[in-house]
Amino acid sequence: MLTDEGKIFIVEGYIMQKAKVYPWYFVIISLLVYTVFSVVPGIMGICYSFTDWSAYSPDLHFVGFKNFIEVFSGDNDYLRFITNTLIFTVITTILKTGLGLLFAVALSRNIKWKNFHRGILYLPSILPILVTGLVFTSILNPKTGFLNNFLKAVGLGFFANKWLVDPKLAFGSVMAVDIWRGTGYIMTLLIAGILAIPNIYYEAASIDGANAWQRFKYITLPMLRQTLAVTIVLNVIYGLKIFDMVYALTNGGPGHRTEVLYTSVYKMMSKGLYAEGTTISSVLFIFMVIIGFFMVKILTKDEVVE
Amino acid sequence: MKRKLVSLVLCGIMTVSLAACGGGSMAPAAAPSEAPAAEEAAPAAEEKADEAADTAETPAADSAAGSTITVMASQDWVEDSEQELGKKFEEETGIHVDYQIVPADQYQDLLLTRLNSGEGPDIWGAQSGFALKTTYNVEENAVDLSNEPWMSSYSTFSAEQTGVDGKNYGLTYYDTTTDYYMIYNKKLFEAAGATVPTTYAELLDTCDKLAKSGVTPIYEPMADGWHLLMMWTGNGQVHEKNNPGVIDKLNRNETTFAAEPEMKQAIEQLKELYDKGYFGDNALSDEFADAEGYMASGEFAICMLKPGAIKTIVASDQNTEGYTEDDFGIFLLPICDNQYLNIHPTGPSRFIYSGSPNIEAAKQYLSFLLEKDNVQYLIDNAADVENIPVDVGQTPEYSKTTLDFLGSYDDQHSGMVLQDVVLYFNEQWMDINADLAALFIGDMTSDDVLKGIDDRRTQLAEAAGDPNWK
Repeated sequence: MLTDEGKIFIVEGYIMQKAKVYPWYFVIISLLVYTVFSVVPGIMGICYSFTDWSAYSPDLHFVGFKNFIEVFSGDNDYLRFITNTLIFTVITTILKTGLGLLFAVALSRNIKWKNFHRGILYLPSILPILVTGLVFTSILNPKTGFLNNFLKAVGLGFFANKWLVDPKLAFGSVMAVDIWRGTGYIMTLLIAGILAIPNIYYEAASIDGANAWQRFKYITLPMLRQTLAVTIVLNVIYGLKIFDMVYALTNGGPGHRTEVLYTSVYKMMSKGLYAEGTTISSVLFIFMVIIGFFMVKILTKDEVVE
Repeated sequence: MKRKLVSLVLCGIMTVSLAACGGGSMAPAAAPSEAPAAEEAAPAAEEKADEAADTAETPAADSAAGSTITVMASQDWVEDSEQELGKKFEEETGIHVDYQIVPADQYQDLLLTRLNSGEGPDIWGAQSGFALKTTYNVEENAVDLSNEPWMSSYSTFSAEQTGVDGKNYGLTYYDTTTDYYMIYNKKLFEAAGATVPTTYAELLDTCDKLAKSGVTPIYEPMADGWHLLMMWTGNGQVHEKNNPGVIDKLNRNETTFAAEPEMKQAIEQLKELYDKGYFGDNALSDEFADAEGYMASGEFAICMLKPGAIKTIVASDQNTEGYTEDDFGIFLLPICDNQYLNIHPTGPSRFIYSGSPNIEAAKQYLSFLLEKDNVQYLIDNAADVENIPVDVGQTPEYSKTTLDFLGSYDDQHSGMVLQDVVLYFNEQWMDINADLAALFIGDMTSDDVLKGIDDRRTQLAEAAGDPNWK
């Protein structure tokens, strides 16, 4: 019952909550550590991308935007690496989120062996990425791999392919393995989100005659928005930083078909061309900020601001 | 909202910082004000090494017992026989040898990352030659081995390739007394009516006949990312013979690969062999480790291998056809009609990391490998090793096929492989291989590949401050 007295209580409660917020100087130490070990080296990294820093010479010279011009000149493969990274990010994010949501909805219901199914789907996520990559390199070998041999054995030999070396399939294979590995993790987060939705909404909707699709569309999806926002941001950041899966499965090949930004950063750094490496890294940083900014803005547009 | 944006920016900065930290200890050295410190680093490392050497044969050597040294090398650089010798070394000295064998396509990146971040293995493997100074910064990353007792038995030719400015930093522990040539199956040739080719046109004809007889002509393991390029550079001496002075011009930056029509012809001929299916269906995923097995199976007729590999082919489990060593022969791959024997004194070599805490134990290991009995053990037990570039009184095991083949070329008809004479080439070995793969699958043109080589040469030369590129 709302009364004047009640309103006062709420206001008082709000004031009490506010009073519980810790003073700003509590974060000084952690902020200092973070600044020294993360922010400063990060800014230094960006600064180095304006130099000719390399392992070949102890001298360091300011070269302006030369390294950035090289990245965007189109004379080399960098633009393709950027495109590959973005394609990887978009496709894996959509499919991991879509499949994760599908499995989460299915496994939130009371089905038989629910936890067993959940465990099986989550299992790939706990395997180290490099191990997954190496195992799949063997499974997808066109001549001796398990997949092609299995397809041939069951009479589906026409589906057998050169999964990791056919230029048309290689990038798709890498993404498929990554989706296989990452979907279970997204599913787990979404299950937690779904289970947090009070059952009373579903009961009320059922009484009003809503079918399963309507309950999903008007209850599950809107109430999962925050969880979905988190999973999508996690997927996008992971996708932009992808390295180990590509490195283990194809090392950027065949040719440079599956090369992404971080595999090229790694190769630049290992060649001692540090400035070029940090330049690509800085470009990635700019991408992450731009994409992240708009994503957070879109996904939280209906969020109540204090 | 603003807070979220700030968190996002900070996360991004962290990502960049990780990349920036990748240079590790090189970062301060790169600062101009600290340049002298970087220059002094090498002598400092040498002093450390000298100090360790002074204490050799003393309790310091004994104190190494119980320690472990790591030997990091690319796949195929460490023979099983060497690992057996490693066990014997442990029995004698108490020093355990941990071999870290890395897949060939990942090795160079991994090694350089470790060296550049100051975390090198005790002993690291690398191809000798020009790249030691430019790519591996050997003067800073390796210990000076010029005064080691085995230097007197070490091939002068090899010492030149593992040395920089008169100092020797490495030991070539690989059969560089021969190079890679085309090993072929005589029986399959005979059945197909094919002959040993001496021109490119004849090579096409030979491959055509082999293919028609149901045999895949050439086993080309491209998955490792290093083998394919040898099919060009192994015949690279033909460029100098046909166009005298071209190598010097390349090294003085007076010409480029893209400007030399014969370079383009060479890689386009390789592409033609691939396009015609002469490398088989799975060349992109075929691995070098399987080469001898596939040659023994009779599925493939030719492969670019060391002559010593014939013994391994014959001994292979897959030799169900009962092949003998006499069933295999050797010829030169006539890319650009090449008929000059390739000489390649550089090869996988061992270097002791200057920052290693086990320098003395590592030196002991190298000395142990070069004891006469141990060299002989390697030659006798590593099937594809016929000799190594040291003279400790061992008996080489060259087959008659090898001796006949090598004996048929005099000095006038032999020359150094391209990567041993062209500057800033060997450093980009894996990149060029990747570009050639891209050429084969249609992602690049031959002009793109050659331009890529030139661009990377410029990048490396400028980074090294080469006056010819200023």
